[in-house]
This record gives sequence, structure tokens and C-alpha cells, in this order.
Amino acid sequence: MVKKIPSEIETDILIIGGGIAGIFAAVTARQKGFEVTLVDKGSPGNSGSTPFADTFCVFDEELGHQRQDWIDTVSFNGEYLNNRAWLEKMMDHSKERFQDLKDWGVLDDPKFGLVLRKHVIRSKTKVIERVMMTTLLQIEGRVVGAAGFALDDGKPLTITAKSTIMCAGAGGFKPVGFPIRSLTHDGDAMAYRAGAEITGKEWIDAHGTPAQNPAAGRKQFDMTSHGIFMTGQPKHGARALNIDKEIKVHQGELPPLAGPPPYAFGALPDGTQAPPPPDMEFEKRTMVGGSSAGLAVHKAEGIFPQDNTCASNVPGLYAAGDALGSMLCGTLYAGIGFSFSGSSVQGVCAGEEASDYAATAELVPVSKIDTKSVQQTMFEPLERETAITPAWVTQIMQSAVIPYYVLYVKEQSRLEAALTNIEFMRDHLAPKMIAGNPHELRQVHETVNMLLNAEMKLRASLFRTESRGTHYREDYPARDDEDWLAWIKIRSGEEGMELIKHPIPEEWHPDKSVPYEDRYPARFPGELEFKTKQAAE
Amino acid sequence: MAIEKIENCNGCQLCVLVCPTDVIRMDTKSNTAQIVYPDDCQICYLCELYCQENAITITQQKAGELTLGWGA
Repeated sequence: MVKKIPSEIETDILIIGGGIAGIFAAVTARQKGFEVTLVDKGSPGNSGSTPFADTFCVFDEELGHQRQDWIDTVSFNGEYLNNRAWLEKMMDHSKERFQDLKDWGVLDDPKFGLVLRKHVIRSKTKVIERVMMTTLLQIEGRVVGAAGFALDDGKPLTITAKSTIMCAGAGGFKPVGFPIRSLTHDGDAMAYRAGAEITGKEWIDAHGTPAQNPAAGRKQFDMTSHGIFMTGQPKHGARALNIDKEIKVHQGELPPLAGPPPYAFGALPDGTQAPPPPDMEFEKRTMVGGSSAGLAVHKAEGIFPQDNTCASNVPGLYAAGDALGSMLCGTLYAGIGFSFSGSSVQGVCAGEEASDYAATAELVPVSKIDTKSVQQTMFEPLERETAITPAWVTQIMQSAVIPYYVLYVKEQSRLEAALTNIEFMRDHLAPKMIAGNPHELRQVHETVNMLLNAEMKLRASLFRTESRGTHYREDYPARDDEDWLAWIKIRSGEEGMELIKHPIPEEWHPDKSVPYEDRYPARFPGELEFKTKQAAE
Repeated sequence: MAIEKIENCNGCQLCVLVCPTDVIRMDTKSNTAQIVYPDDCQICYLCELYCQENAITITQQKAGELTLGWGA
């Protein structure tokens, strides 16, 4: 099953990452008649967050869902920085995508990853597994393919394509307890180095894990009994302040006890999520945080979408799923099942847009690529003679950025201290990391990408001088609607990272005639005192 | 210690393909799956879920100090 991999491929459309977004993108581009190559660090369907998905949010007017009500609710829950254009697309197409998954036999099978893999292979997509892509190839600024290496034999692979769709999204600092240790923001990192704008790094995913055996947090989900459930509509205010447990710990309260695990039990006839069965017993466990450290709210971070499409600002480069900073939910989880649904919808959008681009774009032959210099950089860690391993750099990076008082409960001096530390690792440790084999070479590249993400998260957190959603600054504990109804974009500049404020459309602003405390009913500690003091000044 | 052992492997290679963190590799001589990089196991249970032979044993403990959001 682990196949021999060619060293060069020329294709119409290259997709990097085989989670649900990559699979929908591949199938869509194949339906349009293009040659498609999908490359994955693992295997499609079983990659990224996809094999752990259990909920899919469907907007369905036949179930009584009302479009304006969803827009209002998600905007309210997401504290107004959600992207309504992407929400509209999700509402337009989620029912069709759910039907697709049903037709493919995905929904009722706990091993649905294999079903997805079979489906994408059957679509005659060229599937390349166990290859880590490290570099987007560019000619005159345009992305014309990508390069990487095989995990099994360490051999290089160069692919050129008319258009490229990045679906290797999301990531963390290889935390324990949440299954994202294979996700290291490879997509954001490759795109950033190619000149793409990256967004959403200040938003925080705050999953916890049981204090007893914290590394086995995945055990709290029941994976053996079901596949994907449809979820109900977002509830008004239901998801307010996802970081409340971090704040409690900071205030000296005991770590919280967890109730039922976050199972999904399907949808009730009224479209809301079903509760667990009454006779089901749950152990009350002490929870600790940081199990998804380094991850943002799904869909909030990634390549900044130009004009609400899947296109990046770099010609030839598209993105979907967690690699696209679509801000579907906004600053915190506005509803359950939005991520899987949103990625499915966006995969089709990206497949269509990248196909349109490929229809008129030229294919650059591999012979025109300076593969020697790309491979020299990629394989350099195999030649180095130091004693710095990627495992050690990862470990000290974790100590710098996982503790709750850095990127969950934030404050300027602590963020700056962590940034100094991360910059040192970037400048003095990353260039010295060694690899003895392809497995370790993967870890070197992953660590470089994680350090880049850490720097982005710290800089974006310093830049946003307000609190909102999952971004809590102790020194700026209130929402600032005058200055911060805006997204942050990060791009590579001549002197390092450049951070740019991108205002959201005025028609998406909250109604400022509504008193502040009603506009934002979820309270950050110190918020009202801060507002009073501000008003007095 | 996370993934602990693989016994009675039928050589189907599914666990190698689905392991997100490249912990398991095939031994070409015996055509069986071997645990090669146990330190990288994230205890996600995917290999156990996919194994047709119930050949894989996973425990909930992980060796070494883990960095968490806070201690408890």
C-alpha cells in the first residue's frame, strides 16, 4: 500500500493536504476535467483534523433555520469579526456537502477516513502519500508548484502545477491531549515564505484534557461508535468566552471539573443538538488546559482570503479549510460543527476557483525549476554536525508558549518576554537543528514552522490592543469598537514580520446604539473598571 | 508508554498510513508493522481503531514530563 513515489510530477492542479477540504477540492477539480495531484504528509481522509471530526453543521430552511437569525447569532457569538460572506457560502452549500458525504458512505462509518481515501482515489486524483512538502516554488512571484521529500526513503519530490491549493492548515505546538501533533501550520508557513498574507493568529482554541493521563485526552471522545453527526443551529450566546477556565486558573480558582465528554449525540427534530442519554454516566475529572496550544479557533487563522474568495494575494495560490483564514465563526466558536462543514464547502470553492485559474495558466516544466538549490536548503539538516535536535527545540518552545499566562491570559510584558525567547530559538537554534533520517528531517521542518507560528501568535497578540472573543489582554480588558473592528494580516517584509490592520466592512459593525454591556454580555475580568476609567479620562 | 505493542500483524499497512505522527513503519523482511518512533505517539487511537486484527495495544500513559497549560 505504501507506494513508490516519482521524483517529478507535472500536473494541472496541485493540492497540498488531504483533509476534508483537500478531498473536496480534488474531487471538484477532477469533475471539471483537470489532472489533479494531492500530496499528504500522511494519507488523505486520515490527515489533519479530519479523522477526528464528529459533527457537521447543516443550514436547512426545511428544518426551520432562518438565514438572518444565523447571521445575527454567529455575528453576536463571534463578536462581529466573523466573515459574513463565508457564513453565507456555508449556509448556501452545507446541505449539498452533507448529502455528498452521505452519498459517499462517510456518515455512519467510524473509519470514514478510509472511505474518503477510497473516494478520492476513485476520482482518479493522483494521490501521493507520506510526503512532506516544505517549499512553494515560484517564478516571477507566481506559485508554480511545490517541493518536498518522502518520509520512507527521504527522496526529493518536485511538482509543478498550473495552480496550487493549500489545504495543509491548522497546527499547534505539538501539545498533548488533543490530536494535533501532526499539524504544525505547514501551510501557513509555506505560504508566508512565498509572500502570502496570514491572518487570525491572535485567536485561541482552548481545548482541555483530563489531568490524569493528560496525553490520552483523545479517550474522552468516543470514536468507535459513530461517524459524523449533523448538528443543530448556533445558540445565541452559547459559546461566550471559550477561555473562561484559563481565566479561572489565573484568578487562583481550582482547575475546573469536566462533565460529560464533548460527544455529539445527533440532532433533535428542532435542529438543536441532542443531549447525552440520561442513563449515561460520566466520571467527573479535573481538566487541565493547553491541550490544543498553538491552534486558533478553527477557520479563524490561515491564508488571508482575497475579496472573500479562496485566492491568496500570491498568483496561483489558493487555500481552503483550516489553511484559509475565512473567519467563518469569528473570534470564538460560534456554533458546533462549523469547522467540518465550512472546510467541505470551502474545498469545493477552492477546487472551482483553482480550476478557473488553471484553465488559462501555463504549466512550468520541472526542468525550469532550480531544484538543486531548493533541495540543498531542504536537506541541509541532514548534513549539519551539531547536537541540537528538533525534539529538544520543540520542548523548550513548548515551555515558552504553552503555559496559560502567555497566549491564553495575555499581557504586554509577558508576551514580549516570550517573543524574545522565540526569536532566539528562531535565530540561534532553528538553523542548527540536525536530522539523522527522514523522520527527523520532517521534525526539523515542523519545528521551524511551529516557531514561525509562535512568533506570529505573539506579535498578533501584542498588536491587538483590546480583548475580544478568545483574545484576552489583561492590560486592555475591553472590546474596542473604535479601533479594532478589524482583522490582522501578517506578511513577510524587508525587516521581518509586518502586521497590518484590515478593517471589516462597515455594514458588519455591531449596532453601536446598543449599550456596550448588552452588545458584549460576556465579561472579561477588569473590563468594566477599565471602561469606567477610560470614560473618566 | 502510549503505543505499546503490535502483535499478530497481518501486514496490511493501514496503521502506517493512518498514523498522523509517523510512529509505525513496515519491516520489509517480516512484512509486519513495527513501532519505530514511540516518543512521537500522540495517543490518538487511530491505529487501534483501523487495525482489522486488533493487534495494537495502547496505554494512556506517556513517558516524560509533559508541558501543559497548568499543573493539576
